[in-house]
Amino acid sequence: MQKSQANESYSRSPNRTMLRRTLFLMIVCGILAFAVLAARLYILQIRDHEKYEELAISQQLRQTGTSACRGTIYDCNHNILAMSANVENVYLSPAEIEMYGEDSELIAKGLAEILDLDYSEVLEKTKNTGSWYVTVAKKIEPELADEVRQFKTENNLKGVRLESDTKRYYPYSSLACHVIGFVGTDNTGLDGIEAEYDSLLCGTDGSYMRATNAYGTDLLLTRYEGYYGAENGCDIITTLDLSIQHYVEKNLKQAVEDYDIQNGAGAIVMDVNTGKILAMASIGGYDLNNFLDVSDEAQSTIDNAESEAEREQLLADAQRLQWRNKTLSDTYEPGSTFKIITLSMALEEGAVSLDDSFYCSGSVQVQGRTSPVRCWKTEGHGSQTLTQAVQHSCNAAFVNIGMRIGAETFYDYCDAFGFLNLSEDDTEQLSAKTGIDLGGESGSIWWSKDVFCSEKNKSQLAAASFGQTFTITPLQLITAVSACVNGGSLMQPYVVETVLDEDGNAVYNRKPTVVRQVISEETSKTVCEILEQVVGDPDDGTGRNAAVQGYKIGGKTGTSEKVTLQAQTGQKEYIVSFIGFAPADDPQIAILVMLDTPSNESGIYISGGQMAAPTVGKMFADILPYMGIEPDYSAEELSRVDKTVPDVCGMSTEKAIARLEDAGFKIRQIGSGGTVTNQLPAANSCVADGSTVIIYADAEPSSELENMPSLEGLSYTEAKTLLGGYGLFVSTDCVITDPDNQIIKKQSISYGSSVKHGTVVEVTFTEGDDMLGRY
Amino acid sequence: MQYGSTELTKRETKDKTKRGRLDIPFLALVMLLLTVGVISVLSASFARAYYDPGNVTNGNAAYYFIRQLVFAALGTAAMLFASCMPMGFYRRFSIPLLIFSIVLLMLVPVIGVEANGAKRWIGIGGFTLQPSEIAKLGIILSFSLIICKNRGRMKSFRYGILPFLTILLVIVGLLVLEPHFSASVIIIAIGGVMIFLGGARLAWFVAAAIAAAGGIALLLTKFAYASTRITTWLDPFSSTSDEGYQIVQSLYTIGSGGLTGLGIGQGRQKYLYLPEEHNDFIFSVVCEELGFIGAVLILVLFSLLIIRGYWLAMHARDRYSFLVCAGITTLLALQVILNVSVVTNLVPCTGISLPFFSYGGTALLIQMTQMGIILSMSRDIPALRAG
Repeated sequence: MQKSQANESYSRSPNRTMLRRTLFLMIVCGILAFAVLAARLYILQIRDHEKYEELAISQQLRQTGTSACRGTIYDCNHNILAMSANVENVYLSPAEIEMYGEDSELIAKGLAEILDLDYSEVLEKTKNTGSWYVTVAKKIEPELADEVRQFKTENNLKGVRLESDTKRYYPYSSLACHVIGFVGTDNTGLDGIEAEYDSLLCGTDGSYMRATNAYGTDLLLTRYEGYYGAENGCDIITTLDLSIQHYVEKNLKQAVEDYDIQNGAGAIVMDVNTGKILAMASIGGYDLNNFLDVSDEAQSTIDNAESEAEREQLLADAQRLQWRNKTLSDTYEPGSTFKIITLSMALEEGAVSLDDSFYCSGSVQVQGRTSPVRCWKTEGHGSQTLTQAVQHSCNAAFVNIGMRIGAETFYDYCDAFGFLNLSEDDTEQLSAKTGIDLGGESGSIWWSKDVFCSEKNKSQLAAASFGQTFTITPLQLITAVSACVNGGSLMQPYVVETVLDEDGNAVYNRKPTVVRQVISEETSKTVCEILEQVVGDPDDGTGRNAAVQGYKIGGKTGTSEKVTLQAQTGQKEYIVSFIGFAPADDPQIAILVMLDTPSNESGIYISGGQMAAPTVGKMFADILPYMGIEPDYSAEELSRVDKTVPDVCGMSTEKAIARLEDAGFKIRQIGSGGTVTNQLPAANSCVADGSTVIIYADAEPSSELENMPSLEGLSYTEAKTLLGGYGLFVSTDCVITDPDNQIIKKQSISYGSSVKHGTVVEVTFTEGDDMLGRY
Repeated sequence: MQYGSTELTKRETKDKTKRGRLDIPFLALVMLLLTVGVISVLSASFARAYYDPGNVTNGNAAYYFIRQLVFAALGTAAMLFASCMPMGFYRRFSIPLLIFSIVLLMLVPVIGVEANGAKRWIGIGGFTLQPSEIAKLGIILSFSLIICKNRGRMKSFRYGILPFLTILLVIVGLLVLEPHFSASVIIIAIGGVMIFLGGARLAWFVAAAIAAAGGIALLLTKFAYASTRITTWLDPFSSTSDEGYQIVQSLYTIGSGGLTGLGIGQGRQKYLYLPEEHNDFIFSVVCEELGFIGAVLILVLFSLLIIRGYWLAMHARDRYSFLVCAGITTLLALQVILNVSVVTNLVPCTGISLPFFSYGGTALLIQMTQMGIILSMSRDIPALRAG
């Protein structure tokens, strides 16, 4: 009975509620839920398919083969400054070494031998079996990589792998290092053009893609691969000229050595009409190929340091210092070179004229200053014309000129010349940059307008008139001075001229940018004429040491005190500089040289005129002929090379000697008679100035023959001395500026020929020898 | 009385000697899904088996497939065997199975195998077993039995709710200890559905829903673990957690499939990008390889199986068979829906396997046995009504 009741409770059919509720479940769980799931799949697989597919593929695909080649950097004549070459990285896959049971000791031994590594270190790396990628050597040369590949094949090693990479080479190592910059191990630009134009240079990696598993090895069944054309990086043609850069660095290094410069030096060569940077150098430089290595001197200081932390700190400091481009990262008080700017604005405003006269008593009282402003010449320059005031670099005169211009106008011109950015707020300290296409440019620092233009205190204006109490970068100064001499247009400086894509099509072509017209062409012409007198006047010009024979050069010296440093430490340090341009009647290039802190021990009077001006002069002497700007020698200059031998036959010995000495010759007398009976060389021959003329007093020249010596490789002076010993003479048709250093290339009478005494041999000179060949 | 009792004896005798045919559409759907599932395991697992990052397979690409194939065969045998057992057999073992599963769950903390920070498995020989899988069947069978016993009293709290709630609290309590969140959710859901089908008042479900909402809110505010799951769910792409990675990879995998898929065996995400590609996330691989069309076809097969399951339940000869069949069908439906929802990021990530597809021998055996029970009850459906 009980059993049947129990059984009945199980065997009863489900009631209506149960069936209704089941039907409800069937609809919800069997239909509706699946409809929702299908809709969700529609969203993921159809609507958003492309998005997810792209994301999935981006993680599945690996690039192999070569990565995009980084673009080449050229100078303006297509000389390669920076280029990339294919190298390879060697890495281990310790997980696979373990998986395939490969001999890790054999691997370590082989790799250590080929790659010159420490055996135990490599062995240690093979033990890291959790990893699929452990780098052993980076950026090895193809030949070495081939050896590794052979080792790998011979021993059938899956755990040793190679991947391609690129390495950056800089054929001229340290030349123009601060402009070119360098790349890190990941091939991204870290400095200079390499950093500034990185996105263009680097290109797009690509080449050969294949689908891989999450460990980066091939899939088993699926082959999904494709060639994606790698877009190589663009090539960059810079405005730099390797030869000019070389001349600049050579002379700058020489100056640093000669004048014992303590704190580095900088030089810029700018095309005044376009703003192109033709050369930019900063000392000390570094080898771009090993940009982390510091100079031996710095390294020895580091090695002597006490602790590891200190060594690291010193190394980092030394690296930062050598990477610093002084010409645009350092600001300084330009000193007297800035007088060009003051002069330009004064002439443009009509505040001064060429006829004005300025009196200098050695110092001048300025409102708001307790002590008078001193001129560098303590006894004063006396009364002087405007040109003389510039020639003398007279501070007193320029204070006077500054006052005539007036503070507000002065301030506005400084804005126009790009030294400051005028703003609405008069109490703000102002700053400006040239906007050159290089990183690391510092901004100038100027007094706020309300301080500078204060009615009660003229001391800022007075000091600014001769370039003190504000700081600017050397680049800003040369840019502004270029505007003063090029007809009045302020140009934006730049270093990259053209960017070419892989196929050589220009993707970017820089046109010179005129920022604004600052002064009139007429004013600019006057400024050039006045500045030419600073260099061209051999007696009065403070910049006369920059003169180069055959060229008209204009310029201005500068010797500025490091005022802030002096205020802080009491040390008196100077920056000497010179800014020059040539040719003065049609300016093409400008050169600025700044030498930071010459030592007192050099024995040379510390001034821009004594140190920077000759350096700039030497640079001009190298660069102007190279640029194809023909020298135009005055008669006087020409006569210093060759001279015509006067006719002294028949004269009395004394008279003949006097005549020849007058003409600048040396005399060797043979015979002791009273009258000159013969002379060598013959009258009216043209021979080297200072040659020894032989006069025969009642004697006959010997008929002995001489063997012609070789003159090649000698200087003109050396040849003259050498030939003098043989009674032979040298002359040239070439225009030479430096008889002591220019090298003879050819002689008209070949070496070893027999010649009579008195023969004149003509020589020719190498013209601007192919300096690229020397690297 | 005498008459009735004779009738009953007759019927019982008839049951034992001559039962009806098992339901062919249901059997066909199960075998079809099982076949597709085993092939999917081969396709999804060979990459991991070959590369063998966990040092399990010795580089044998067919390792997982072979094992799954063996279990599919064993499972089919188990299903057929289960289908031969009369429903009375299951009725008799309902309560013992529940007690057995509770004992196993209590043993888990003692002899359990730990994996991924949770103890959910018990090792038997070379195999592992999740006692929660057995508990699910135990709940269905025992609840069916109790509902039958409490016929007519199901609307009261004492008979309609209390006994079930007590059992559920014990089991969920043990699962929380492991901890095993997804199994808890499924067991609560399946328990709730059984009570629902048993005829409990709807008001209780409203109350339970409110309590669940409050509980979830508490969980989210009190436990950082739970709230990170939710943020991962809402924005898996900015999550750095393992779940976030898993979900992102799953979405990549599914989305890559497009309309027609990459073709069987041609998937790429299984190459060690997608974790759990032959377990919980096998459906993602299926979506990638078979595309939207293939994935929806498989969903349709599941949907048909579930509808057929409910249909069979509605035609059950008796109440116990009805409850067991509807319960097992609901359990299957919940697993499928939750698994696909997880891999498509419709719900927060949690570990739920896909019936017939996910790799796992003992789970497959139990699933196939459950299918066998449905087939067994289908044999009792009077031929007249089986149309």
